[in-house]
Amino acid sequence: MQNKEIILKVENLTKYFPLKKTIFDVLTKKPTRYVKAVDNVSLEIFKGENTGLVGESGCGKSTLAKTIIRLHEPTGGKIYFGEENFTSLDQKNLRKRRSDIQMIFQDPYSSLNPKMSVKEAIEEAAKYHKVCKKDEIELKVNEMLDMVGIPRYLSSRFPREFSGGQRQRIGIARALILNPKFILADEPVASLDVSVQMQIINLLDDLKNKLNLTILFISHDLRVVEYITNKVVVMYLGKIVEIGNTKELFESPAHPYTNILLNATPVLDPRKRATNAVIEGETPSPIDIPAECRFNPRCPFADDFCRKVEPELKLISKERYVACHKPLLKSEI
Amino acid sequence: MDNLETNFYCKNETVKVVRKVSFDVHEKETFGLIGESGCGKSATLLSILRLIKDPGRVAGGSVVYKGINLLELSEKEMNKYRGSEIGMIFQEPMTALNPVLTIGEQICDAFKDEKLTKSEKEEKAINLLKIVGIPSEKQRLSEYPHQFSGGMRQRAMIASVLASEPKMLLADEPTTALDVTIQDQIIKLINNLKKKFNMSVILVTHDLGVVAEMCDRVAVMYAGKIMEIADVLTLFGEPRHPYTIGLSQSIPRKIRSGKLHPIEGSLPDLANMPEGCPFEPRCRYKEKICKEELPELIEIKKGHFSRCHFIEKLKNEKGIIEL
Repeated sequence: MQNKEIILKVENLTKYFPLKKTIFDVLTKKPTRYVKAVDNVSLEIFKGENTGLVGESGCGKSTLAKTIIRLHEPTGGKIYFGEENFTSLDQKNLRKRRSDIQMIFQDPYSSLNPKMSVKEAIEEAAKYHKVCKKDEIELKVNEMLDMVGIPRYLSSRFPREFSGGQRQRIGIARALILNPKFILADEPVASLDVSVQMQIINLLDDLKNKLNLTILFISHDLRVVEYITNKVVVMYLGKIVEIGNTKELFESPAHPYTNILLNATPVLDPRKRATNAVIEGETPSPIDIPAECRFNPRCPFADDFCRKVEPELKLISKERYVACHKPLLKSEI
Repeated sequence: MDNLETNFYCKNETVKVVRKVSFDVHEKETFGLIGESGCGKSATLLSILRLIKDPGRVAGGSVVYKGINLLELSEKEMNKYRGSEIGMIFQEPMTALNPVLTIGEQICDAFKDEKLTKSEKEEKAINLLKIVGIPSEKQRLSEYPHQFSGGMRQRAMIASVLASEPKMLLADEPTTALDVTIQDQIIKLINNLKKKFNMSVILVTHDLGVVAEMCDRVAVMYAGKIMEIADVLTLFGEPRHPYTIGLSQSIPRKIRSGKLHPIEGSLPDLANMPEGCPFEPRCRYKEKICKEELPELIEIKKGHFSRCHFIEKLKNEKGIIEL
C-alpha cells in the first residue's frame, strides 16, 4: 500500500464562522462565538480512489469541500495538492491552479447561469484557463458533450430547456473541460429522480476510469456511497469520527455513530421492519460543542470517561481510523 | 377512488396530471403511492381533499370516503371532512405551519370540541406533544415554528393533525427533507401512531426504502397512470411491470455486485402524452404494440395488478429483495 500516490492531503484543517455580535455583546465585551463547521480535520486522499464523505446535514461536509478548494478561506491548517501547498497560494495563482480541482454542485438548477447557452457555459471556463487554442474550443466542447451524453445539436439551448439530469450532465462537462485531476462532487445526485440518479452515478464512475480522475463524493445517501466509493470518511459535528475501507466499514462499523447511521437507513426488505427508532434526539448545535467526546449525549455506550476526555482519531486496524474510546470493532494494533 | 382525473389548464394546453386513477384503501392500512417527480402522486393526494389550486381542477371520477363521494359535496360540507376525518401532513413543515402563531395555538385551533376551556385545551396539546415525542412540551407549546428543527417541526405538524383525531392520514413525502436518523424516527412515529389511533394512511413517496418500512400495499405511478398495484411483499419480491423492475434495479446495492441497470432516458412531457404506453420510450421490453395501444391494468393474481402487454415475459425478473 506504500506505493499509492497521495493526491490531496489535508492537515489540521479548521474553518470557524464567527457569529454576529449584538450590541449587548459588544458593550459587555463578550468574546466572539464561533460556529465550528470544520474542526481540526486531517485527511489523505489517494490518486484514483473514490472517497465518500458522509454525515448528517450540518456536520460540515460541504464546508470541508469548499474550504479544500478555498471557496472558504481556512481558519487554520494546511492543504497539500500533490506536492504543492494550496493554502499559501495567492489569489492569482490559486485561480490558475483551480483548473486541477473542480467541483460539481448539488443543485444543477442554480449552478448554471440561466442566461448562458450550454455551449457558452462549457467554453467559458476553458477560455479563461486557456485549455486549448481558440479555434479548437468548439471541437473540445463537442467532445465534452459526447462524453456526458448530451446531443451536440442541443448546445445552443439554455439551461431551462433541460431536465435535472441533463443539467447535471452539463455541470459535469463544464468541470471536465479543464482536464481536472480531482473532482469534488457535493451531493451530485441528491436533487435528481431515482431513475436518473443511477445514470449520473454510472456516468461519473465511467468518466473516472476513462480520465483517471480522483473523486471526493459527498453524500448523505449511504447506499450511493457504498456503491461507488473505495473509502469512506464519516463526519460528525465538524470532526472526522471514522475512516475506513468502504466494504469493511459497512460490514463492521467501529464508531457507534457510524453504526447508527447505517442502521437508520431504511432496509429494502419489508420483512425486516423494526418498531423502534435506532436513535432518539437530534444533532446538537455546532456553536457550543462540548470539549469532551462530541457524540456522548447521543451515544448508547458513553460512560464517565467519554464525558471527560475527547477521543483522538487513532489507527485501530489496517486503514481504519476511529475517534472513540470504546470502538465497536476491537483494535488489532 | 374511481377513475379520478385531474387536469391543469394552462394557457395553450391541458396538462393531464392524474389520468383515470382507481384504487381502494382499506381500514387500518398504509397504502403507498410511489413514483418520480411529476408522476401525479401528490396531485392524486390533493385531489382527495379537493385542495387542487387553480389552474388545476378535478375533471372527473369519484373519491368515495365511507360511502360518500367527496367530489359532490359543497365546500361547507367538505370542510367537515378536512382535518377532522382526513388529516394531511406535508413534506416541508415550515410552509405548512403558520409562522406567526405558536405551536400551542395551532394545535388548540384544531380541537373539534369547542366546549373545552383554554386550560383544558392546553393540557390536551401538551399531551399530544408528548405522544409525538417532543421534549420539554410545556415550554415548546409557546414557541414558534422557526424555533423548531426540521424533525421537531414535522412532529409538531403531526401533533396538530392528530388534534382533530382523523380516521385517515394523508402523508406527502413526510421524511424527504430530513436526515436519515430523523427520517428513521419519523417513520417509526407514524407507524406507531397509526396503530395507536387505528388510522389508515396514504403515503406518497419516491423512496422505496420508506415504502419497505411503512406500507402494506403499494401503487406505482408513472406519468399520471397507475402501472402496478400489489401488496408490498409481492412488489418487492416479484414485480411484474418494467418500470417497477427498472426502479428496483436503480437502487445501489452492495459494492460492485455488478453494474447497475438504471432506466435510460427521462420522464415524458405530460402535455404531449403519446397514445400508447407512457413508459414505452424508456422500456427495455417494448414492442410495436406498446406504441399504439395503452395496456389495461390486468390482475395477475389476487390483489396484484400490472399495466403491461408482456406480463408473461417478466415472469423471471427479480424484485428488490432478491437482488
